[in-house]
Amino acid sequence: MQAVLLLAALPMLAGAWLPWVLLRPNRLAPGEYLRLPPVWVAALLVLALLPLAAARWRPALTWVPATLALLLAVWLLGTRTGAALVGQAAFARASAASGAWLTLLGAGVALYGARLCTRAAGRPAWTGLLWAAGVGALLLNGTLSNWSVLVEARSEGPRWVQELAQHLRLVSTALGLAVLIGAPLAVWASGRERVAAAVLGVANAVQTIPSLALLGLLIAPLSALANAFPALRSAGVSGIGVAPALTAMTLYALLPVLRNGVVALLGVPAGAVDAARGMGMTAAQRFWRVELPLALPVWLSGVRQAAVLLVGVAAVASLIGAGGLGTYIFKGLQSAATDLILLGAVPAALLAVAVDAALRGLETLLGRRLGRAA
Amino acid sequence: MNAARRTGGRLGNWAALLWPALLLICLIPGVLPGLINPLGLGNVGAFEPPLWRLTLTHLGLVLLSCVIVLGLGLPLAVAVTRARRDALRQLAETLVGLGQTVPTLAVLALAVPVLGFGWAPTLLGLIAYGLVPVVSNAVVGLRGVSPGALDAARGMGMSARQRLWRVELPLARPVILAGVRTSTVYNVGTATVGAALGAGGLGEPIINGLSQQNTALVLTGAVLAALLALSLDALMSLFAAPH
Repeated sequence: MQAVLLLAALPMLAGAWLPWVLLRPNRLAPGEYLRLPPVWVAALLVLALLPLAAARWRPALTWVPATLALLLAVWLLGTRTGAALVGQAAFARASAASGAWLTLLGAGVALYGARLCTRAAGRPAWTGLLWAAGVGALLLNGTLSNWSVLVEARSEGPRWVQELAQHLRLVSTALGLAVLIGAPLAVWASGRERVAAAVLGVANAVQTIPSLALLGLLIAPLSALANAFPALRSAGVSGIGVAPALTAMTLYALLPVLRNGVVALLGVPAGAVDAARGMGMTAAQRFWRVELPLALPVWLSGVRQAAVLLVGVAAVASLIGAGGLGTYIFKGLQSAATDLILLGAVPAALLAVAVDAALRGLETLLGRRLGRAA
Repeated sequence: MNAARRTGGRLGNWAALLWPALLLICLIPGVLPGLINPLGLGNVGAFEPPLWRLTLTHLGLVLLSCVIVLGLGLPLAVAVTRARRDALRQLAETLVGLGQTVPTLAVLALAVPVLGFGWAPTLLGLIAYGLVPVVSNAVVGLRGVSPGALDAARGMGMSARQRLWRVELPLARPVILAGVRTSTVYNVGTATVGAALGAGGLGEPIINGLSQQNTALVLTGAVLAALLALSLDALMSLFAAPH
């Protein structure tokens, strides 16, 4: 724990000294770096070292200075960007500079270390989530509203929500299709060794191909298809846009769904199946009431891997006109606007983490339910 | 599953020669445009820079990141798997899990504000992303070494350093190599996306083709990138194959 908290203190100590705010006359122009007032530098330095001290003498309370450090960093980011913009024109932007990022990173690691301390001390884990409530409150009461990324988000507003919805739509549609195709295929293949090897081999090769290349490879056949059958074109099939993106994403998601399905179904203990047979269950009953419930937790982890993968591929898919959060990333890259990049990249990363956590929770829940039922 | 692995192995040996051969054929000047132009999707002329140079840039980025990843990842994995470093190991595992979750494009794009455009942010992204499978596999491999083997080594009077070099690393080698293979193949894909940051490589024709609405150009880059990934995967399966 000491080592983790030391790793947390180093970026915070450096971050307190480094410039915190970059003030630019507009969102593209070069700007000047502003440092923190000495009082706040001192406060940050103390808060950087406090978790280390706490872990030494009061391990169960390490979460207090760690949470305070993160909240102070977020609050400082909000107030310092606000202070920097006083008396500036409306186009001026105040964004976070290296000091702010390093401090936030260090505070995050400190919170992680504090959670380990809480767990080692056998205390309840809810204290580890207080920081989220604090950051949420700071976001809602407008403390952060002068930070350049949120200024950009405000001006994008409803369009940003649309792109987020499109991202979610792409991911959920491709995941649904992959499960619809992959589940029966896995059940069919799991009984046949040769088929299983062939199916997994093909799915493996597909996953080896870079996502951008796969998207590119699908443009030609799909546009040819749309040219040959005008009916398909009116149904939305074309070389560019949602159709090739969904096709590529579905192919990509098939491998984890298939692989974990086959592995899970083959992993069902033969004794359980034998016992079911001995009880006089038909093949259908055995599948639905014994094999599937036993295989489901492992299978679901494959679905989770697929979902996380798809959040990333969907970001790349905006390059072929499928929309989604990647739109902001590429728009930001083209115009060298950091805030736009952050507006796409940070939500995409958070979305992937959230999807992962949600499906992980579902897995444990299901595992517990099925464990009790068995 | 055993049968699957066996068939895969035999198929792998065969494909290990097939994919690189196809890649080399496609790189002969005029071959790929000759194949793609008759499809009527657009026109591909002579490339500037030529295709083989783009492929080399791509391969160079991937291999350079691979070397750096090994140099950083292996010592890291060894350091966090020593005794009484559970907290550090958990931190490393959490970070690696996070790296697996966060989209590649987000990592690459976030490196641009720090490093500017060009190959530097792509290399950083490749290293960050390539570390994930190497570190996680090395940790799994090193922790999977049986305590019996370590006890025996200790009983023979080996020092901690000797145990690491002569027992732990050799026993963990197959798992580590599998991680290197995954990392390398994924990085071919990541480097393709890196073309959007100006890194060059085989993503360049894809992205240029998309913006010029020239499907033939897209296809050229996509075919070569796919072949490069399949070639590296097949070649590395020869090294990583369990003996």
